[in-house]
Amino acid sequence: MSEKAGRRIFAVLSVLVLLFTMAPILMLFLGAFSADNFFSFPLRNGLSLRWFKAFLTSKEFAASLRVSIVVSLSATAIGVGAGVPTAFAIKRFSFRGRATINTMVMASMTLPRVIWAIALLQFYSTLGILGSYTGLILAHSLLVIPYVVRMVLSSLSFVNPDVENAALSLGATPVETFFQITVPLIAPGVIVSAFFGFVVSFTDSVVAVFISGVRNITFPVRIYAEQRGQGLDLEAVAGSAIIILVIIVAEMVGEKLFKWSRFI
Amino acid sequence: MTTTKKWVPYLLIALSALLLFIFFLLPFGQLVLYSVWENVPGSNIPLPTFTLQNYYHLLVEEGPYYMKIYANTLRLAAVSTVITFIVAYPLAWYISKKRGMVKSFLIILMMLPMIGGAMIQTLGWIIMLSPIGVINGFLTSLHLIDTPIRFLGAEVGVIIGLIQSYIPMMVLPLVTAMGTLDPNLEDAARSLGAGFFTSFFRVTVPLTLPGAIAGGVLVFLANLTSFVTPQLLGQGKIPVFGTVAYTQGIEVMNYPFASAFALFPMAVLLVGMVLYKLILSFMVRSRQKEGVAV
Repeated sequence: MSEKAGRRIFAVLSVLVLLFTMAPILMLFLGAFSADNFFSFPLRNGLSLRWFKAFLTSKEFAASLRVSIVVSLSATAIGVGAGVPTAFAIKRFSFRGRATINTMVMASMTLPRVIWAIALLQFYSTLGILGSYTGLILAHSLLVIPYVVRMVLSSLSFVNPDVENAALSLGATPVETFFQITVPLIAPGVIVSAFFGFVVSFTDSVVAVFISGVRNITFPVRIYAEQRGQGLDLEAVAGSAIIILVIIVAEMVGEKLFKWSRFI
Repeated sequence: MTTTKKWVPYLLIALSALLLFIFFLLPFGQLVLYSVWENVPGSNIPLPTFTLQNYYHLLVEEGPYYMKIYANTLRLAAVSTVITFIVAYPLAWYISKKRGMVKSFLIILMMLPMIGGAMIQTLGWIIMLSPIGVINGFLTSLHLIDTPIRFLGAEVGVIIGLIQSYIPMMVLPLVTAMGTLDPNLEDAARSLGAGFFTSFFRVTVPLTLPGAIAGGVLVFLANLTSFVTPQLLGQGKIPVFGTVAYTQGIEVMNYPFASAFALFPMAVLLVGMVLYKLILSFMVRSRQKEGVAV
């Protein structure tokens, strides 16, 4: 098999796999523009914006978006507030329990989310905070923390500790050094991880389905609730298409500004 | 930083440690406890009496039923993981050969499932796989089939969804692994007369296998515990670990039993890992005795 033919075949295979990976999202856009009452292919009545309008005027979806944004923003804020110092401690200090905290942070990311969700369900139920905003936010902050710690650890490895030591030797206090030297250097990594953490929290369906209860329904849970009924809810499809578009645009803007794919 | 006070690192990790303790360790502790406590029907607080009733019910009384669910979950996860593994290799190789902006763009494209989250992907799959969806509609309008193919509510649909969900999880580590390969190795193989595929299967694959297997294990674990994809694509007809856990926890609300159900596979996994480490260290030690370089 010649070199060129082999490469060509792999290129074709790769494109096919890539298309397969993106297929559902492409289909979302197809369905979102459908003019029919329900989705069927081929599209009978052509294209329309009616489902976008339906989604944007839907009270339930608006409420769920509000909940999701509040929860995810708060969870991200807490996650960054907890994760950045933790990563800094792990990287720059040696102390008893360093390995433990590192392991626990990584474990919370690799552990199956369904099992954690069940544990949370029972725990929150016992405490009586099932369905509460606070409970949801705090649980989601644990979704964000591992991403923050991981990316800040990676960012810190690009920061030469001698820079910090130089500042210290010139008379800066450790706090001043941290905020004026270290933070600006790790800022891109922090921003990337905050973005990732926000998206992970925003799109989380597993944990939220178990613990968000009846009142504070997040966006993915609202979609889930609609799907339990009959057929495919095109409002949800249009909404999802919008959200995905926003995420992709934000991702590309971030890539342009911060070149953050190097942190992955 | 040896001149700062000793308690500084502890202050820095305090918030994370607190959150992890309260919302990660404690819930798991309660999960373990509840699995050996007695359920009180109608109440969400079980009796704090030690009992093995939950596990007895899981493994003996309704053993066949739940074993079948675990087995089905393993089977579906294994099939999905193997296919994901196979299709990820060409794509990872292709991406690893690119540079700069093209490479970043491809990586972002490929990470779309992870960014979108399970719920959104599943919606897209329903559009594709429904009886009046894209695939069936396409084939029907070309008169290639008479009756729509049943994807949803069947294992096929769930497997397709699972494969697509975790391709990024497989491709990313592979791209990294391939990136660390010495490019001279492939050239060396070529200069010795190997064709494209020979060089790929004899050189690239074996060298990247450790990274691939690491990715494969993660994908397998994710497949085993998947919830949204089997629930929505299986339409409730394909019971797997995640869906049954949901049913037991939210609908039946028998927390002790749900805990036992959720913990049993983890216990098996733990035992498996311990055994694996024991066997490995035994093998290493016996090779050392023989004087073989380890």
